[in-house]
Amino acid sequence: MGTIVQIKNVNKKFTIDGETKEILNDINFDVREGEFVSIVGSSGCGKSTLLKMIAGLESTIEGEILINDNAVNGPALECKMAFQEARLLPWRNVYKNIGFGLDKSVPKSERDELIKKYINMVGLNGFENALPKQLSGGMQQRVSIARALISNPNILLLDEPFGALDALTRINMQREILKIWKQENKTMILVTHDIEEAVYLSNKVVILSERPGRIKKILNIDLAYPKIRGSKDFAYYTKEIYKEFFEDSEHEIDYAI
Amino acid sequence: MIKKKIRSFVRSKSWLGIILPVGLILIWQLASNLELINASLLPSPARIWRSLVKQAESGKLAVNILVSLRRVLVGYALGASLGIVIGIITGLSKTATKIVSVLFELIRPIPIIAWVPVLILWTGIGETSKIIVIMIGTFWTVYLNTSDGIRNVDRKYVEVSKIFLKSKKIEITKVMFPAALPGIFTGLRVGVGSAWISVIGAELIAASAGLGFMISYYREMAQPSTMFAGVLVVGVIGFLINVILRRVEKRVLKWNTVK
Ligand SMILES: Nc1ncnc2c1ncn2[C@@H]1O[C@H](COP(=O)(O)OP(=O)(O)O)[C@@H](O)[C@H]1O
Ligand SMILES: [Mg+2]
Repeated sequence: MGTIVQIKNVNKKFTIDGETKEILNDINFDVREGEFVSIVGSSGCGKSTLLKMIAGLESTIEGEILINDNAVNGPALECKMAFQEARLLPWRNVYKNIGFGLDKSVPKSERDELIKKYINMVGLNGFENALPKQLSGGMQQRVSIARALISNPNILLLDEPFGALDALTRINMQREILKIWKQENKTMILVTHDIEEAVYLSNKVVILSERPGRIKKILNIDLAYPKIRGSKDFAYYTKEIYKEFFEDSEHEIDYAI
Repeated sequence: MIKKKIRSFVRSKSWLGIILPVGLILIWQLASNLELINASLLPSPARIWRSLVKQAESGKLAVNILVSLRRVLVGYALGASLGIVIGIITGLSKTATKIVSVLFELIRPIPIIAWVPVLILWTGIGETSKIIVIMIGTFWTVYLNTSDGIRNVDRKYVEVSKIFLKSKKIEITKVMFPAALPGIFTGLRVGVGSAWISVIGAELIAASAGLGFMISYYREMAQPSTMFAGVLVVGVIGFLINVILRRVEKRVLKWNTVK
Protein backbone atom coordinates (compact mmCIF):
# COMPACT_ATOMS: atom_id res chain seq x y z
CA MET A 1 0.00 0.00 0.00
CA GLY A 2 1.43 3.30 -1.08
CA THR A 3 1.11 6.70 0.48
CA ILE A 4 -1.99 8.52 -0.71
CA VAL A 5 -1.97 11.73 1.34
CA GLN A 6 1.16 13.58 2.39
CA ILE A 7 1.09 16.57 4.67
CA LYS A 8 4.42 18.35 4.73
CA ASN A 9 5.41 21.24 6.99
CA VAL A 10 1.95 22.71 6.91
CA ASN A 11 1.22 25.95 8.75
CA LYS A 12 -2.03 27.86 8.72
CA LYS A 13 -2.79 31.36 9.86
CA PHE A 14 -6.01 33.31 9.78
CA THR A 15 -6.15 37.08 9.81
CA ILE A 16 -9.19 38.54 11.48
CA ASP A 17 -9.49 42.33 11.74
CA GLY A 18 -5.80 42.76 10.96
CA GLU A 19 -4.77 40.38 13.71
CA THR A 20 -2.99 37.24 12.54
CA LYS A 21 -3.69 34.10 14.49
CA GLU A 22 -1.63 31.00 14.12
CA ILE A 23 -3.97 28.01 13.86
CA LEU A 24 -1.80 25.09 12.78
CA ASN A 25 1.92 24.79 13.21
CA ASP A 26 4.32 22.45 11.44
CA ILE A 27 1.94 19.59 10.66
CA ASN A 28 3.61 16.54 9.14
CA PHE A 29 2.08 13.13 8.57
CA ASP A 30 1.31 10.63 5.85
CA VAL A 31 -1.78 8.58 5.19
CA ARG A 32 -1.35 5.30 3.41
CA GLU A 33 -3.81 4.06 0.84
CA GLY A 34 -6.67 2.24 2.57
CA GLU A 35 -5.67 3.51 5.99
CA PHE A 36 -8.13 4.76 8.60
CA VAL A 37 -6.63 7.78 10.34
CA SER A 38 -8.23 9.75 13.15
CA ILE A 39 -7.29 13.25 14.21
CA VAL A 40 -8.04 14.09 17.81
CA GLY A 41 -7.57 17.36 19.62
CA SER A 42 -9.45 19.81 21.78
CA SER A 43 -11.96 22.12 20.14
CA GLY A 44 -10.51 25.11 18.33
CA CYS A 45 -7.13 23.48 17.70
CA GLY A 46 -7.63 23.51 13.94
CA LYS A 47 -8.95 20.03 13.14
CA SER A 48 -11.69 21.22 10.78
CA THR A 49 -9.27 23.64 9.14
CA LEU A 50 -6.80 20.80 8.52
CA LEU A 51 -9.50 18.67 6.95
CA LYS A 52 -10.66 21.53 4.74
CA MET A 53 -7.10 22.06 3.59
CA ILE A 54 -6.87 18.40 2.56
CA ALA A 55 -10.21 18.82 0.77
CA GLY A 56 -8.78 21.74 -1.18
CA LEU A 57 -11.12 24.33 0.31
CA GLU A 58 -8.49 26.63 1.83
CA SER A 59 -6.78 28.84 -0.67
CA THR A 60 -3.73 29.99 1.26
CA ILE A 61 -1.55 27.50 3.02
CA GLU A 62 2.10 27.29 3.92
CA GLY A 63 3.74 23.96 3.27
CA GLU A 64 2.47 21.26 1.01
CA ILE A 65 -0.37 18.78 0.85
CA LEU A 66 -0.08 16.04 -1.74
CA ILE A 67 -2.72 13.56 -2.86
CA ASN A 68 -1.30 10.79 -5.02
CA ASP A 69 1.86 12.90 -5.31
CA ASN A 70 -0.05 15.87 -6.75
CA ALA A 71 -0.22 19.11 -4.82
CA VAL A 72 -3.77 19.92 -3.72
CA ASN A 73 -4.92 23.12 -5.34
CA GLY A 74 -8.68 22.78 -5.14
CA PRO A 75 -11.38 20.17 -4.53
CA ALA A 76 -10.79 16.87 -6.33
CA LEU A 77 -13.09 14.11 -7.49
CA GLU A 78 -11.29 11.48 -5.41
CA CYS A 79 -11.67 13.27 -2.10
CA LYS A 80 -15.02 14.13 -0.49
CA MET A 81 -15.92 15.58 2.87
CA ALA A 82 -18.79 15.37 5.32
CA PHE A 83 -18.76 18.69 7.14
CA GLN A 84 -19.02 19.14 10.89
CA GLU A 85 -22.28 21.11 10.63
CA ALA A 86 -23.89 18.75 8.08
CA ARG A 87 -24.35 21.71 5.69
CA LEU A 88 -27.36 20.32 3.91
CA LEU A 89 -28.97 22.66 1.41
CA PRO A 90 -32.10 23.68 3.36
CA TRP A 91 -34.30 24.01 0.27
CA ARG A 92 -33.63 20.45 -0.89
CA ASN A 93 -35.24 17.38 0.60
CA VAL A 94 -33.23 14.35 1.74
CA TYR A 95 -33.39 12.69 -1.68
CA LYS A 96 -32.18 15.76 -3.53
CA ASN A 97 -29.52 16.61 -0.96
CA ILE A 98 -27.99 13.16 -1.36
CA GLY A 99 -28.34 13.48 -5.14
CA PHE A 100 -26.30 16.70 -4.96
CA GLY A 101 -23.27 14.54 -4.15
CA LEU A 102 -23.44 12.76 -7.50
CA ASP A 103 -20.99 13.88 -10.12
CA LYS A 104 -22.31 15.16 -13.43
CA SER A 105 -20.65 12.18 -15.14
CA VAL A 106 -23.17 9.79 -13.55
CA PRO A 107 -25.90 9.09 -16.13
CA LYS A 108 -29.51 9.94 -15.27
CA SER A 109 -30.58 6.32 -15.48
CA GLU A 110 -28.29 5.31 -12.59
CA ARG A 111 -28.99 8.22 -10.28
CA ASP A 112 -32.24 7.09 -8.76
CA GLU A 113 -30.97 3.65 -7.86
CA LEU A 114 -27.77 5.06 -6.34
CA ILE A 115 -29.62 7.64 -4.24
CA LYS A 116 -32.00 4.99 -2.94
CA LYS A 117 -29.10 2.71 -2.09
CA TYR A 118 -27.46 5.38 0.05
CA ILE A 119 -30.72 6.47 1.68
CA ASN A 120 -31.08 2.87 2.66
CA MET A 121 -27.49 2.62 3.89
CA VAL A 122 -27.89 5.51 6.31
CA GLY A 123 -31.30 4.23 7.42
CA LEU A 124 -33.44 7.11 6.20
CA ASN A 125 -36.07 5.18 4.26
CA GLY A 126 -39.36 7.01 4.43
CA PHE A 127 -37.64 10.38 4.89
CA GLU A 128 -36.86 10.97 1.20
CA ASN A 129 -39.13 14.01 1.05
CA ALA A 130 -38.27 15.49 4.43
CA LEU A 131 -36.55 18.88 4.49
CA PRO A 132 -33.38 19.32 6.56
CA LYS A 133 -35.27 21.43 9.11
CA GLN A 134 -37.59 18.50 9.74
CA LEU A 135 -34.72 16.16 10.67
CA SER A 136 -32.88 15.67 13.94
CA GLY A 137 -29.20 16.63 14.07
CA GLY A 138 -28.18 12.99 13.80
CA MET A 139 -30.35 12.41 10.75
CA GLN A 140 -28.91 15.50 9.07
CA GLN A 141 -25.43 14.17 9.73
CA ARG A 142 -26.36 10.86 8.11
CA VAL A 143 -27.66 12.64 5.01
CA SER A 144 -24.38 14.53 4.88
CA ILE A 145 -22.39 11.28 5.06
CA ALA A 146 -24.53 9.70 2.33
CA ARG A 147 -23.98 12.78 0.14
CA ALA A 148 -20.21 12.41 0.55
CA LEU A 149 -20.25 8.65 -0.02
CA ILE A 150 -22.49 8.54 -3.06
CA SER A 151 -19.81 9.77 -5.46
CA ASN A 152 -17.64 6.87 -4.37
CA PRO A 153 -14.50 8.89 -3.52
CA ASN A 154 -11.21 7.16 -2.70
CA ILE A 155 -10.62 9.41 0.24
CA LEU A 156 -13.38 10.28 2.65
CA LEU A 157 -12.92 13.14 5.11
CA LEU A 158 -15.28 12.99 8.06
CA ASP A 159 -15.49 15.96 10.41
CA GLU A 160 -16.98 14.82 13.73
CA PRO A 161 -19.73 13.00 11.88
CA PHE A 162 -21.12 11.16 14.86
CA GLY A 163 -21.08 14.02 17.34
CA ALA A 164 -24.81 14.65 17.18
CA LEU A 165 -25.84 11.00 17.32
CA ASP A 166 -27.17 9.12 20.30
CA ALA A 167 -24.96 6.34 21.63
CA LEU A 168 -26.79 3.53 19.88
CA THR A 169 -27.00 5.16 16.46
CA ARG A 170 -23.39 6.18 16.83
CA ILE A 171 -22.24 2.60 17.33
CA ASN A 172 -24.32 1.54 14.32
CA MET A 173 -22.89 4.28 12.14
CA GLN A 174 -19.35 3.44 13.25
CA ARG A 175 -19.97 -0.14 12.13
CA GLU A 176 -21.40 1.06 8.83
CA ILE A 177 -18.38 3.26 8.21
CA LEU A 178 -16.03 0.37 8.97
CA LYS A 179 -18.01 -1.83 6.61
CA ILE A 180 -17.78 0.70 3.80
CA TRP A 181 -14.11 1.27 4.54
CA LYS A 182 -13.32 -2.44 4.31
CA GLN A 183 -15.61 -3.38 1.44
CA GLU A 184 -14.65 -0.54 -0.82
CA ASN A 185 -11.08 -0.18 0.32
CA LYS A 186 -11.34 3.52 1.00
CA THR A 187 -8.97 5.83 2.78
CA MET A 188 -10.66 7.54 5.70
CA ILE A 189 -9.58 10.57 7.66
CA LEU A 190 -11.82 11.22 10.62
CA VAL A 191 -11.83 14.16 13.00
CA THR A 192 -13.24 13.37 16.40
CA HIS A 193 -13.02 14.38 20.02
CA ASP A 194 -14.15 10.94 21.12
CA ILE A 195 -11.02 8.99 22.04
CA GLU A 196 -12.80 5.63 22.21
CA GLU A 197 -14.14 6.23 18.73
CA ALA A 198 -10.67 7.06 17.41
CA VAL A 199 -9.22 3.84 18.86
CA TYR A 200 -12.18 1.75 17.72
CA LEU A 201 -12.08 2.93 14.13
CA SER A 202 -8.54 3.75 13.18
CA ASN A 203 -5.17 2.29 12.31
CA LYS A 204 -3.51 5.49 13.33
CA VAL A 205 -4.39 8.40 15.61
CA VAL A 206 -2.88 11.84 15.16
CA ILE A 207 -3.03 13.77 18.40
CA LEU A 208 -2.98 17.56 18.12
CA SER A 209 -2.04 20.00 20.87
CA GLU A 210 -4.11 23.00 21.88
CA ARG A 211 -3.97 26.15 19.79
CA PRO A 212 -1.95 26.55 17.70
CA GLY A 213 -2.39 22.90 16.73
CA ARG A 214 0.87 20.98 16.67
CA ILE A 215 1.32 17.25 16.39
CA LYS A 216 1.82 15.89 19.88
CA LYS A 217 2.00 12.28 18.95
CA ILE A 218 1.11 9.83 16.21
CA LEU A 219 -0.06 6.56 17.65
CA ASN A 220 -0.36 3.36 15.63
CA ILE A 221 -3.20 1.17 16.85
CA ASP A 222 -2.04 -2.39 16.36
CA LEU A 223 -5.36 -4.09 16.95
CA ALA A 224 -7.19 -6.47 14.64
CA TYR A 225 -10.70 -5.58 13.46
CA PRO A 226 -13.32 -5.86 14.76
CA LYS A 227 -11.88 -4.33 17.88
CA ILE A 228 -13.32 -5.29 21.23
CA ARG A 229 -14.16 -2.14 23.14
CA GLY A 230 -13.85 -3.68 26.59
CA SER A 231 -10.58 -5.48 25.97
CA LYS A 232 -7.38 -4.81 27.84
CA ASP A 233 -5.47 -3.84 24.68
CA PHE A 234 -8.24 -1.43 23.71
CA ALA A 235 -8.00 0.21 27.11
CA TYR A 236 -4.25 0.48 26.77
CA TYR A 237 -4.58 2.62 23.63
CA THR A 238 -7.31 4.85 24.99
CA LYS A 239 -5.19 5.44 28.06
CA GLU A 240 -2.19 6.29 25.89
CA ILE A 241 -4.23 9.02 24.21
CA TYR A 242 -5.78 10.33 27.43
CA LYS A 243 -2.27 10.65 28.80
CA GLU A 244 -1.35 13.02 25.99
CA PHE A 245 -4.24 15.29 26.88
CA PHE A 246 -3.86 15.28 30.59
CA GLU A 247 -0.12 14.78 31.01
CA ASP A 248 0.35 17.73 33.34
CA SER A 249 -2.89 17.54 35.23
CA GLU A 250 -4.35 15.70 38.14
CA HIS A 251 -7.10 14.33 35.89
CA GLU A 252 -4.85 11.50 34.92
CA ILE A 253 -5.92 9.59 37.97
CA ASP A 254 -9.54 9.48 36.80
CA TYR A 255 -8.53 7.56 33.77
CA ALA A 256 -6.11 5.14 35.36
CA ILE A 257 -7.49 1.70 34.78
CA MET B 1 -64.54 22.50 4.64
CA ILE B 2 -66.03 25.99 4.58
CA LYS B 3 -67.21 25.58 8.15
CA LYS B 4 -63.68 24.68 9.16
CA LYS B 5 -62.28 27.75 7.40
CA ILE B 6 -64.79 30.01 9.14
CA ARG B 7 -63.96 28.49 12.50
CA SER B 8 -60.22 28.94 12.05
CA PHE B 9 -60.86 32.49 10.83
CA VAL B 10 -62.79 33.27 14.00
CA ARG B 11 -60.20 31.65 16.21
CA SER B 12 -57.21 33.31 14.52
CA LYS B 13 -58.58 36.75 15.41
CA SER B 14 -58.04 37.85 11.80
CA TRP B 15 -61.57 39.30 11.96
CA LEU B 16 -60.31 41.93 14.42
CA GLY B 17 -58.73 43.69 11.44
CA ILE B 18 -62.13 44.22 9.85
CA ILE B 19 -63.55 46.23 12.74
CA LEU B 20 -61.68 49.44 11.96
CA PRO B 21 -62.49 49.81 8.22
CA VAL B 22 -66.14 48.78 8.73
CA GLY B 23 -66.50 51.14 11.69
CA LEU B 24 -64.94 53.96 9.72
CA ILE B 25 -67.30 53.43 6.79
CA LEU B 26 -70.30 53.41 9.13
CA ILE B 27 -69.24 56.67 10.79
CA TRP B 28 -68.50 58.18 7.38
CA GLN B 29 -71.96 57.16 6.11
CA LEU B 30 -73.61 58.48 9.25
CA ALA B 31 -71.77 61.80 9.00
CA SER B 32 -72.79 62.08 5.35
CA ASN B 33 -76.42 61.40 6.20
CA LEU B 34 -76.30 64.12 8.84
CA GLU B 35 -74.71 66.38 6.20
CA LEU B 36 -71.63 66.95 8.33
CA ILE B 37 -69.44 66.30 5.29
CA ASN B 38 -69.46 68.35 2.09
CA ALA B 39 -70.56 65.76 -0.53
CA SER B 40 -68.71 67.54 -3.34
CA LEU B 41 -65.46 67.01 -1.43
CA LEU B 42 -66.17 63.58 0.01
CA PRO B 43 -69.24 61.72 -1.22
CA SER B 44 -70.89 59.17 1.06
CA PRO B 45 -69.85 55.49 0.89
CA ALA B 46 -73.26 54.57 -0.52
CA ARG B 47 -72.92 57.20 -3.25
CA ILE B 48 -69.40 55.95 -4.15
CA TRP B 49 -70.72 52.38 -4.21
CA ARG B 50 -73.52 53.37 -6.63
CA SER B 51 -71.00 55.05 -8.96
CA LEU B 52 -68.81 51.97 -8.75
CA VAL B 53 -71.69 49.68 -9.71
CA LYS B 54 -72.59 52.02 -12.59
CA GLN B 55 -69.01 51.97 -13.87
CA ALA B 56 -68.94 48.20 -13.55
CA GLU B 57 -72.24 47.76 -15.37
CA SER B 58 -71.16 50.00 -18.24
CA GLY B 59 -68.05 47.84 -18.67
CA LYS B 60 -65.76 50.86 -18.33
CA LEU B 61 -64.41 49.71 -14.98
CA ALA B 62 -63.27 46.34 -16.31
CA VAL B 63 -61.51 48.02 -19.24
CA ASN B 64 -59.68 50.43 -16.95
CA ILE B 65 -58.69 47.66 -14.54
CA LEU B 66 -57.42 45.46 -17.36
CA VAL B 67 -55.43 48.27 -18.95
CA SER B 68 -53.70 49.10 -15.66
CA LEU B 69 -53.11 45.43 -14.79
CA ARG B 70 -51.64 44.69 -18.19
CA ARG B 71 -49.20 47.58 -17.86
CA VAL B 72 -48.21 46.46 -14.38
CA LEU B 73 -47.75 42.87 -15.49
CA VAL B 74 -45.46 43.76 -18.39
CA GLY B 75 -43.53 46.47 -16.56
CA TYR B 76 -43.19 44.38 -13.40
CA ALA B 77 -42.00 41.29 -15.28
CA LEU B 78 -39.38 43.33 -17.14
CA GLY B 79 -38.27 45.36 -14.11
CA ALA B 80 -38.11 42.34 -11.80
CA SER B 81 -36.14 40.25 -14.32
CA LEU B 82 -33.70 43.06 -14.89
CA GLY B 83 -33.41 43.61 -11.12
CA ILE B 84 -32.68 39.93 -10.51
CA VAL B 85 -30.11 39.65 -13.31
CA ILE B 86 -28.22 42.83 -12.43
CA GLY B 87 -28.62 42.05 -8.71
CA ILE B 88 -26.99 38.65 -9.21
CA ILE B 89 -24.14 40.15 -11.22
CA THR B 90 -23.38 42.88 -8.68
CA GLY B 91 -23.94 40.43 -5.81
CA LEU B 92 -21.29 38.14 -7.27
CA SER B 93 -18.77 40.72 -8.37
CA LYS B 94 -17.33 43.56 -6.33
CA THR B 95 -15.99 45.04 -9.56
CA ALA B 96 -19.46 45.15 -11.09
CA THR B 97 -20.79 46.79 -7.91
CA LYS B 98 -18.09 49.47 -8.11
CA ILE B 99 -18.75 50.07 -11.82
CA VAL B 100 -22.47 50.78 -11.33
CA SER B 101 -22.28 52.31 -7.85
CA VAL B 102 -22.00 56.02 -8.66
CA LEU B 103 -24.49 55.93 -11.52
CA PHE B 104 -27.03 53.94 -9.53
CA GLU B 105 -26.68 56.09 -6.42
CA LEU B 106 -27.29 59.18 -8.55
CA ILE B 107 -30.36 57.81 -10.33
CA ARG B 108 -31.97 55.93 -7.46
CA PRO B 109 -33.07 58.95 -5.37
CA ILE B 110 -35.11 60.31 -8.30
CA PRO B 111 -38.78 59.74 -7.42
CA ILE B 112 -40.51 57.44 -9.89
CA ILE B 113 -43.09 60.06 -10.77
CA ALA B 114 -40.39 62.49 -11.90
CA TRP B 115 -39.62 60.06 -14.71
CA VAL B 116 -43.09 60.35 -16.22
CA PRO B 117 -42.66 63.70 -18.03
CA VAL B 118 -39.15 62.73 -19.10
CA LEU B 119 -40.35 59.47 -20.60
CA ILE B 120 -43.32 61.11 -22.28
CA LEU B 121 -40.85 63.50 -23.88
CA TRP B 122 -38.72 60.60 -25.07
CA THR B 123 -41.28 57.97 -26.02
CA GLY B 124 -44.56 59.83 -26.34
CA ILE B 125 -47.75 59.31 -24.40
CA GLY B 126 -48.23 55.65 -25.42
CA GLU B 127 -47.70 52.40 -23.54
CA THR B 128 -43.91 52.52 -23.62
CA SER B 129 -43.56 55.43 -21.23
CA LYS B 130 -45.86 53.80 -18.67
CA ILE B 131 -44.19 50.44 -18.89
CA ILE B 132 -40.74 51.96 -18.44
CA VAL B 133 -41.95 53.90 -15.39
CA ILE B 134 -43.22 50.66 -13.85
CA MET B 135 -39.97 48.95 -14.75
CA ILE B 136 -37.99 51.60 -12.93
CA GLY B 137 -40.32 51.43 -9.94
CA THR B 138 -39.94 47.66 -9.71
CA PHE B 139 -36.27 47.49 -10.57
CA TRP B 140 -34.77 49.22 -7.54
CA THR B 141 -36.26 47.14 -4.75
CA VAL B 142 -35.76 43.87 -6.59
CA TYR B 143 -32.22 44.82 -7.58
CA LEU B 144 -31.18 45.91 -4.08
CA ASN B 145 -32.65 42.87 -2.34
CA THR B 146 -31.19 40.44 -4.88
CA SER B 147 -27.76 42.01 -4.74
CA ASP B 148 -27.73 41.94 -0.93
CA GLY B 149 -29.16 38.43 -0.87
CA ILE B 150 -26.49 37.03 -3.18
CA ARG B 151 -23.69 38.91 -1.44
CA ASN B 152 -24.72 37.53 1.95
CA VAL B 153 -25.09 33.88 0.94
CA ASP B 154 -23.42 31.77 3.60
CA ARG B 155 -19.95 30.74 2.36
CA LYS B 156 -20.59 27.33 3.83
CA TYR B 157 -23.08 26.48 1.08
CA VAL B 158 -20.67 27.67 -1.58
CA GLU B 159 -18.02 25.35 -0.13
CA VAL B 160 -20.47 22.46 -0.42
CA SER B 161 -20.93 23.32 -4.09
CA LYS B 162 -17.17 23.48 -4.58
CA ILE B 163 -16.36 20.20 -2.89
CA PHE B 164 -18.84 18.42 -5.12
CA LEU B 165 -17.15 20.04 -8.11
CA LYS B 166 -20.25 21.79 -9.37
CA SER B 167 -19.90 24.17 -12.27
CA LYS B 168 -20.09 27.91 -11.68
CA LYS B 169 -23.52 27.83 -13.34
CA ILE B 170 -24.86 25.22 -10.91
CA GLU B 171 -23.23 27.07 -8.02
CA ILE B 172 -25.10 30.24 -8.93
CA THR B 173 -28.46 28.78 -10.02
CA LYS B 174 -28.79 25.83 -7.65
CA VAL B 175 -26.96 27.06 -4.56
CA MET B 176 -26.58 30.83 -4.36
CA PHE B 177 -29.90 31.76 -5.96
CA PRO B 178 -32.08 29.57 -3.71
CA ALA B 179 -30.05 30.65 -0.69
CA ALA B 180 -30.75 34.28 -1.59
CA LEU B 181 -34.39 33.65 -2.48
CA PRO B 182 -35.92 34.78 0.83
CA GLY B 183 -34.30 38.19 0.33
CA ILE B 184 -35.19 38.28 -3.36
CA PHE B 185 -38.82 37.57 -2.49
CA THR B 186 -38.92 40.50 -0.12
CA GLY B 187 -37.79 42.62 -3.05
CA LEU B 188 -40.42 41.12 -5.33
CA ARG B 189 -43.17 41.79 -2.80
CA VAL B 190 -42.16 45.37 -2.11
CA GLY B 191 -41.50 45.80 -5.83
CA VAL B 192 -45.03 44.90 -6.84
CA GLY B 193 -46.23 47.64 -4.50
CA SER B 194 -44.00 50.18 -6.22
CA ALA B 195 -45.15 48.88 -9.61
CA TRP B 196 -48.75 49.50 -8.69
CA ILE B 197 -47.98 52.96 -7.35
CA SER B 198 -46.01 53.72 -10.52
CA VAL B 199 -48.73 52.73 -12.97
CA ILE B 200 -51.38 54.77 -11.21
CA GLY B 201 -49.00 57.72 -10.97
CA ALA B 202 -48.13 57.55 -14.64
CA GLU B 203 -51.79 57.25 -15.64
CA LEU B 204 -52.75 60.20 -13.47
CA ILE B 205 -50.34 62.37 -15.37
CA ALA B 206 -51.05 61.28 -18.92
CA ALA B 207 -53.21 58.45 -20.19
CA SER B 208 -56.40 57.72 -22.06
CA ALA B 209 -57.30 54.58 -20.13
CA GLY B 210 -56.52 52.84 -16.84
CA LEU B 211 -57.47 53.37 -13.23
CA GLY B 212 -55.22 56.40 -12.82
CA PHE B 213 -56.85 57.94 -15.88
CA MET B 214 -60.28 57.15 -14.43
CA ILE B 215 -59.45 59.03 -11.24
CA SER B 216 -58.11 62.14 -12.95
CA TYR B 217 -60.79 62.12 -15.65
CA TYR B 218 -63.71 62.11 -13.21
CA ARG B 219 -62.06 64.79 -11.12
CA GLU B 220 -62.03 66.98 -14.21
CA MET B 221 -65.64 65.95 -14.93
CA ALA B 222 -66.49 67.03 -11.36
CA GLN B 223 -67.86 63.59 -10.50
CA PRO B 224 -66.16 63.00 -7.16
CA SER B 225 -68.09 59.80 -6.37
CA THR B 226 -66.76 58.08 -9.48
CA MET B 227 -63.29 59.45 -8.79
CA PHE B 228 -63.41 57.95 -5.30
CA ALA B 229 -64.68 54.69 -6.74
CA GLY B 230 -61.44 54.62 -8.76
CA VAL B 231 -59.35 55.31 -5.67
CA LEU B 232 -61.15 52.50 -3.86
CA VAL B 233 -60.48 50.01 -6.66
CA VAL B 234 -56.79 50.98 -6.75
CA GLY B 235 -56.56 50.26 -3.03
CA VAL B 236 -58.41 46.96 -3.20
CA ILE B 237 -56.37 45.64 -6.14
CA GLY B 238 -53.11 46.66 -4.48
CA PHE B 239 -54.24 44.76 -1.40
CA LEU B 240 -55.14 41.67 -3.42
CA ILE B 241 -51.82 41.65 -5.29
CA ASN B 242 -50.03 41.67 -1.95
CA VAL B 243 -52.15 38.78 -0.67
CA ILE B 244 -51.44 36.72 -3.78
CA LEU B 245 -47.72 37.35 -3.61
CA ARG B 246 -47.60 36.38 0.06
CA ARG B 247 -49.31 33.11 -0.83
CA VAL B 248 -46.81 32.41 -3.58
CA GLU B 249 -43.96 33.30 -1.26
CA LYS B 250 -45.23 30.98 1.44
CA ARG B 251 -45.37 28.12 -1.02
CA VAL B 252 -42.02 28.73 -2.71
CA LEU B 253 -40.17 29.35 0.55
CA LYS B 254 -41.78 26.51 2.47
CA TRP B 255 -38.30 25.20 3.31
CA ASN B 256 -37.51 28.48 5.03
CA THR B 257 -40.64 28.71 7.17
CA VAL B 258 -41.39 25.09 8.00
CA LYS B 259 -40.74 24.22 11.63
N1 LIG C 1 -12.45 31.15 7.88
C1 LIG C 1 -11.89 31.46 9.06
N2 LIG C 1 -11.48 32.72 9.29
C2 LIG C 1 -10.91 33.03 10.46
N3 LIG C 1 -10.70 32.18 11.48
C3 LIG C 1 -11.09 30.91 11.31
C4 LIG C 1 -11.71 30.48 10.09
N4 LIG C 1 -11.97 29.16 10.21
C5 LIG C 1 -11.54 28.79 11.44
N5 LIG C 1 -11.01 29.83 12.10
C6 LIG C 1 -10.43 29.78 13.44
O1 LIG C 1 -9.49 28.75 13.47
C7 LIG C 1 -9.50 28.09 14.71
C8 LIG C 1 -9.64 26.61 14.50
O2 LIG C 1 -10.91 26.31 13.97
P1 LIG C 1 -11.36 24.85 13.60
O3 LIG C 1 -10.43 24.32 12.57
O4 LIG C 1 -12.79 24.90 13.25
O5 LIG C 1 -11.15 24.08 14.97
P2 LIG C 1 -11.66 22.64 15.44
O6 LIG C 1 -12.34 21.98 14.29
O7 LIG C 1 -10.44 21.93 15.90
O8 LIG C 1 -12.59 22.88 16.58
C9 LIG C 1 -10.64 28.69 15.51
O9 LIG C 1 -10.08 29.58 16.44
C10 LIG C 1 -11.45 29.43 14.50
O10 LIG C 1 -12.00 30.57 15.08
MG1 LIG D 1 -14.19 21.39 14.02
